[in-house]
Amino acid sequence: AARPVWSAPAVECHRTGAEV
Amino acid sequence: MSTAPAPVPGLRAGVRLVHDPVRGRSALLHPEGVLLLNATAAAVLRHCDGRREARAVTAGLAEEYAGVDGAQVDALLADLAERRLLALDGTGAPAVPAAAAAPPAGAGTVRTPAPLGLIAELTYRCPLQCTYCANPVELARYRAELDTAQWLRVLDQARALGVLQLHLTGGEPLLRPDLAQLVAHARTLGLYTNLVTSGVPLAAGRAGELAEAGLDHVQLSLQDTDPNRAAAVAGLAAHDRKLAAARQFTAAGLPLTVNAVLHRGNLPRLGALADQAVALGADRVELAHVQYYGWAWRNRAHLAPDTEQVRQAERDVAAARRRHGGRIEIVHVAADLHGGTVKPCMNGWGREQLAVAPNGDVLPCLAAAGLPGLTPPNAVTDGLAASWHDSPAFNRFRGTDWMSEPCRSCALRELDHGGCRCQAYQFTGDPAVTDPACRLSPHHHLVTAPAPAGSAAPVPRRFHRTPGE
Repeated sequence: AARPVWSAPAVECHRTGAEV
Repeated sequence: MSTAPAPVPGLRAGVRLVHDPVRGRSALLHPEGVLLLNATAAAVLRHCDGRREARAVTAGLAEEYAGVDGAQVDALLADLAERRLLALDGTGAPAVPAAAAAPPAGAGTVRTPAPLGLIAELTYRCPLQCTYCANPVELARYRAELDTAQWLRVLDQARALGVLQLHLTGGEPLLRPDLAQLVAHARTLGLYTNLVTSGVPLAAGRAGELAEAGLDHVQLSLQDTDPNRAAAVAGLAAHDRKLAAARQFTAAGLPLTVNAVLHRGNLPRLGALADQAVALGADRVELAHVQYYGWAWRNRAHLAPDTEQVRQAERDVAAARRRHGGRIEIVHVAADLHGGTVKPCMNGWGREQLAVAPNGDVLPCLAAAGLPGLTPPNAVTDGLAASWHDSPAFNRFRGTDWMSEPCRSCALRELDHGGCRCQAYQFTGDPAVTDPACRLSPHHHLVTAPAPAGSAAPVPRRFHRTPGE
């Protein structure tokens, strides 16, 4: 913004604070 | 010809990895931000210890997952390094995951939206009288402050709601003698703690005490690089004390952001402010154009830059970034009211953040107390969960159903959330209309017109107004 099978890493960016 | 050294990923100072049982997922917490991670992104980070090369990270992941894609691992590491969350030169710290506190037993199903940030205004007392302060003009209404036990309960309730990041602000939060106790409690809950301070009342040893309590990050305000001009804005000759406070914080090992509010009076020294932050050893400098709330709205005619000054500021920021390269993150908060588009204020009303005023009033944003007909719930009498989820104040402008045209049919309504309700009210007298900063607003001419001069000189922030102001 058995081993598990790999899936693509994903991130969601959230800003906080008074200047969001 | 030399080859680039292999990346050795580790967390930069001021960045922490946590697992959030409220959301059932991990997150990277960093100054003024939360990066929520999916399972494989969290797994990548758990293998980053500041010692192993990236290829060893991929090899470690292959023991956990079938079909690990090394290119995806490398891309994530590069992305997090670009965001200044990871160091790749072996100077980073191990990403040891800590568990944030879980909701109390019997709390039931977690409700959404779950807030990420709590802005805790511990007090409105302040040694400074900045003419651009965004605190309410009616400061005397907030003389009563929550006591320590009440703030501790607010923090417990915030974590149970989903909050991961705590901004300790004011006024001047250093005036609370229980500040280290609040920081320590927040740390036990797994919250990331950010102190927003003038630095003026910082006594010897206090920075170390706060670091020992677990404080994660400090934002220190500078009014100007010229001590006399700084004193004129702040109402106090405090510039040298602020520089000393910055050095105390960094000596205590605390990551530092220098905050500078930009206005007509200090814009010519924007580049010098960035240089000053570098000289102080700051990790970040936030060059933020004044936002017109509280005292700043009252003094807008004395603070507002013209369009050419705003454009020059953009050029000065670009020059500072070229001058300082990667030594410091330079954040430029663009000017409101210029450009014809609106800001997604607070990233949506009642969507990701909440504020608690010194008296316990719970608000969707720092200025919402000034809106007509909005009765704030209170953290002590109503509780934080009921305030956030169920109060009329938080549901008044939540989502998009409240919108009128042109917002209602606008393709951007889910992205900018209709802009700022306080700005709409201040310019038009109606908080439910389209933010007049939008060029599509029928009230846009009110924004582009010069601000009316309400007083011959800026009015300093203070608890009591004098007659005739």
